Amino acid sequence: MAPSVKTGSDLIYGTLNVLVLKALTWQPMHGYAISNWLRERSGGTLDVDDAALYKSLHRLEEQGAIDSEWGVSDNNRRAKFYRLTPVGRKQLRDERTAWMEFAVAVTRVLRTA
Amino acid sequence: MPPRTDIRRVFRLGLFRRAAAAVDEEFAFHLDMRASELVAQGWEADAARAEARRQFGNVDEARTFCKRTDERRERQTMRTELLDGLTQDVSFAIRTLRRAPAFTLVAALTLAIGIGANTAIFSVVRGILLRPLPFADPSRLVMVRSTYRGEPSTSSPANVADYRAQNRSFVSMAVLEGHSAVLTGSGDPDQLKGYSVGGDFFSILGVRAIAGTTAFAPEDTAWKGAKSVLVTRNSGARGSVAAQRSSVLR
Repeated sequence: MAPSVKTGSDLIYGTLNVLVLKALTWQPMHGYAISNWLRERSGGTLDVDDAALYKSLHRLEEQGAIDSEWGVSDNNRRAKFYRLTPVGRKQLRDERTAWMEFAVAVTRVLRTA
Repeated sequence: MPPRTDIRRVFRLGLFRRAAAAVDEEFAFHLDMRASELVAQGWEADAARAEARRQFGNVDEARTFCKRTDERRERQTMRTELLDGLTQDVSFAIRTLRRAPAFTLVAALTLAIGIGANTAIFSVVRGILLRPLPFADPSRLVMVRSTYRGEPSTSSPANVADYRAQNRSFVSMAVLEGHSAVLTGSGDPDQLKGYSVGGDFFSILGVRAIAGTTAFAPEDTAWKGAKSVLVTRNSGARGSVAAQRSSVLR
């Protein structure tokens, strides 16, 4: 999937999927936790729209990259936890590689200009 | 915990509604958590809820999108389960049948005879009851007959003339009477079965001749002794039309 830049401050298309997959690498998480994880990790640089985050989660689940089950959150509420599947693990590897190459290419162009 | 597959199968009907409710619950959890986090930071409860929604973005659009995505996924899961079940059932059936050849034979015979009998009966029913008559406008075709003391009876030419004169129900009427004759002089004698019919009989039924003509004047002239015409049908039994014609002319 070739990344393409969307308008304004929106994330580069497809990037959110990689970030979500990355967030789920270590443990299953619910959407709220993923939202906070993204905020913390990006130091507030990435202004991730929660609506877009949930759309990404449900789409990834449909594609089989993640699956979900209901569990109990830290404050004892029912929450939907997402977990990476083997398909998602492979997708994360592939997209991370693609992203790195893309970033390197863009950086190289910007440096020489 | 997700419900077990076999239990989910039983409650499959409620699946879509459950998928929609799950999206609602998931979003509500997120908004509540965000709001209470803001309250902990010193926000007023109402303001915190509003701010949680603002940070979320377009809640309704995302809700619709997620519900639609989940429904599609559920449908796909259902299809897969259905297909798996079907495959299992079929392979189980084949294994069972192979283990009991005598039973298989009896079952196959039962089916064969049942299907055969049904086909035979339906063929007859279709021929007699269902197949439309091979005439023009068969649904508007009726047979009218006189009765005498409750029994079918012939109609006199004068009565026919009255029926026709007083008719308000039919577009046109033609007379018909069973008739048989014995054909001799060409080998073995043969019995011919047929009908004496009025001259406009064929035009009412919309039947045209393969050879010769079926366009005749109404019978009024005929039963006054004007002329009679022989019309035969092209049944293979007595040979071609030409052969029949030559045998009749002899």
